[in-house]
Amino acid sequence: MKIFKKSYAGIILLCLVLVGSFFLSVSLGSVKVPLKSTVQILFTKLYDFTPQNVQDVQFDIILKIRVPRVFLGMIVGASLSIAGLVFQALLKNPLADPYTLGISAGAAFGAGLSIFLSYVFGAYFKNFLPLFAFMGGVATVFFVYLLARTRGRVQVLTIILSGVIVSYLFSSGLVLIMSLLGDRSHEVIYWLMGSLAGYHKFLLQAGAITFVFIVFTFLFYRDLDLMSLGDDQAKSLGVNTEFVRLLLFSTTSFITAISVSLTGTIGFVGLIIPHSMRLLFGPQHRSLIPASVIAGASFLPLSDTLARTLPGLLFQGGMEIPVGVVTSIFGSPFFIFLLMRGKKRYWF
Amino acid sequence: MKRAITAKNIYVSYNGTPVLRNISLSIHDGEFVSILGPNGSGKTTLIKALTGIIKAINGEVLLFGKPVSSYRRREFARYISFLPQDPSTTLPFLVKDIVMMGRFPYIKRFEMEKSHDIEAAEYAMQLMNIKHLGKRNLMELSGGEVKRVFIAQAVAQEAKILFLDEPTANLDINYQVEIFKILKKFNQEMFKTVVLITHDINHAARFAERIILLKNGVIYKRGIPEEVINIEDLKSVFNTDVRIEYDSEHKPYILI
Amino acid sequence: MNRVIYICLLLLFVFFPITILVGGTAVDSRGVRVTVPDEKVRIVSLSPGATEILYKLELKDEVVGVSDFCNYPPEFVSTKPRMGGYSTPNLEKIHSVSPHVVLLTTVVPLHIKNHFEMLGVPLFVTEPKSFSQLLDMIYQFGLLFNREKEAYNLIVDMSEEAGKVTNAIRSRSITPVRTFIEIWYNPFYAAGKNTLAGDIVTLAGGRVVPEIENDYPRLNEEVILELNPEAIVLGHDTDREQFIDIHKNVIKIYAIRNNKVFIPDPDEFLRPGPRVVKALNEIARFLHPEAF
Repeated sequence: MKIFKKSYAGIILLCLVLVGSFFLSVSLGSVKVPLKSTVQILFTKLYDFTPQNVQDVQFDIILKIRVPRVFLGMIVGASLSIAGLVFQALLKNPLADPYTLGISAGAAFGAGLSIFLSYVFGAYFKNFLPLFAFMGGVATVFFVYLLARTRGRVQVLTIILSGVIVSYLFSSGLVLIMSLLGDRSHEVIYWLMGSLAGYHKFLLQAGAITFVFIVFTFLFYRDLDLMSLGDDQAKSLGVNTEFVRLLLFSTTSFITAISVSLTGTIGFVGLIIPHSMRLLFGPQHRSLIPASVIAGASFLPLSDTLARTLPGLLFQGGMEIPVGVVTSIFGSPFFIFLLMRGKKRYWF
Repeated sequence: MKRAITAKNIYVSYNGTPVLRNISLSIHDGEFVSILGPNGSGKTTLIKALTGIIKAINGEVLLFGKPVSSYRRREFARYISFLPQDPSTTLPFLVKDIVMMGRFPYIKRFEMEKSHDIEAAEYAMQLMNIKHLGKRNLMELSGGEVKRVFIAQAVAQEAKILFLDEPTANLDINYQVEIFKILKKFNQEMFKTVVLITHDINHAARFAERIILLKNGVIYKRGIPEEVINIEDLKSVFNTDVRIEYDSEHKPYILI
Repeated sequence: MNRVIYICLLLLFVFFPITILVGGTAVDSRGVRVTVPDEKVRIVSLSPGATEILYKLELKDEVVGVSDFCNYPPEFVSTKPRMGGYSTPNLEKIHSVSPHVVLLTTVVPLHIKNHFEMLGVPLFVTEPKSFSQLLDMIYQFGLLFNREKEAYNLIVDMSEEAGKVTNAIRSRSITPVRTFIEIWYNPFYAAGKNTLAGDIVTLAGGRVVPEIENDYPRLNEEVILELNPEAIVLGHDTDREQFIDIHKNVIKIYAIRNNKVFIPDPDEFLRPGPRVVKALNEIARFLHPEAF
């Protein structure tokens, strides 16, 4: 049952939520920056406007710390959401997302490997961490795909099985690296917990690539709809199932690998967002894809804002909760609530 | 008569086990053909091979003289539609969405549905008497209604050749009759080629122009109903004794 | 060991006059040179040990932020804003106090380091792996923050304390006790001799086992049984019951059979700060009671 009769209205509402999420996330943080100053600072960037009564430090906090962080959250939130959505459609499995397919394990392994190599061969290697993580993620996809191929066709069930196997393989590899690193393994653990902190040189480029891939994936919304009929039927209706599966699998894994290489592994988003959007918008991917992307891009920065500000409020400490913890804690009850509201039961 | 689909010496296997052996046949444009045979004789596999869903190992399948593999999928789908035995979907689509999916071969990737697409879908729903179900969720419907929805989808596809795998299985008698009448209408009034698999020998005998009888992956016999439906051949293929009577049009029907 | 301390002091005497001229600048363990203003410097310490040292160097108001883990002296740190952990620092808070330098005794992930660089906040990273390196760290702090005199005094105090201990042991010509430094359990992690903890134990008259190059090797119980250490110094808190339970498989080793197990305060023992000498004292008395 769709809650939104007209998808357009729903999408516009989501866009408003996105804008709201952006402003909220940029305005809130460990350090209090008055709303007026925040707005002024943002406008400075846009309109060449000179702010009054704004300290340099506040400028930096908003523009050099928060805005990039929120932007990163939007990119990763969108990527993980569309990845989950597409994998669920291609594999006809409601539990499919980048994690079950081993991509995150592969990317985490890549990151761990680069950290390990930096201790063995020189700190120089650490600069390549995003690249290693990315290659790890992409390599996993190939592994999974190769494992799942039987006689030139890929069976859906075997992909999922392969994903689980490969995920375990890379996770073990990661644990091996951690035990070899010994006391230095906390850096790798940091990766596993996932975080939006830090400075990433190629953030804008990553965002652009992600956007392009999302738009590209959107063009296949009908194919994704038809895949739900089963491969045979989809084929008879003219869908090039093998090609579409391979193509979308690759592009989605690609943007997932980019995300994981930037932030480490953040779980739950690829499950919560697509399922919630399905309950709100129905099964048509024409509206699901934009909805999931926008919702994901709103959800993650909001979760991160909570992760950043809650410890400060509760414990007077400076440390943040890992963002993955927040996505789980606040994502699940919301999801349960949606389930109870939706009159139809899908996939359960 | 033009040859719509031709199979030449095709072999098909699943996981190394041969299912179809050395099958050669032709379906002519505008024919109404029924494929009969016991379970496991390879009927569904044959249809899937003819519709390009499964690749044959040896031999080739031709559509209007050109190999099936030379067609692009979308193009091919404008000629041939396939209704499986248990059509379903894992997602809660609305009936009108499902029917509109039949227009996929005609809508380009960057385009929206055109008015002709909408018309075709509406006509299909009208024909199958499911227009009132348009906004209902497929998962709420009865088996017969679901079948009709998917037949409507095949109709909306406006394909020249319709392949149907047991379209009346598990349906109430009124639906069964209705569907066969509609198929006959497609065949006679719209000149569509119909190939269907059925367990119901009587329906096949009554409606089909030609019958292809399969046994153990090979064509046991083919021809008009009067030729194929006889006691000896049926005993040989189905391993059971039947009585055969003839109706007013001299079409055979069996009595068990 | 004493020799090393004396050499350190000697170097200080020699270079002390020179350092007065330069002032406000020092080189960290990565080789990065950091300069801070002489007056009204603002320091963020993400190292509990460094915080204690800063306090001793009479840098009170200059400290504008401490880590969530800094806890000594309590009256001092309770007044300071919390800046997060050492590998999870809160960049917003740190940047909002505009520090001239952030002190660390451990390595941070690359993208955090890059973020500091991008914001223009200098990091001063020191990882002392021995007592003399710790003294050198104090010396560097003194150089950096214009507190050479206080640093000198602290170093001398600490060296004297250490010297008393090492003298007492040396004078008795005691054979070093084979000591296992247990940093963590399940699985067991030991401290090697090339760590601060390892050096403290060595100075206290122990011979650190296992004798391998790794800083913090992970060991299985078989190895521990084979090593059969004569004494165990714990780097973590535990009570007697839990200890027995953890070590039930290695209960036969000499150290446990003869009750030669000691738990110094981990905050004193493992932290690169002024209180290591207290831990040194206690450990020495534990290992060689006959010398005192």
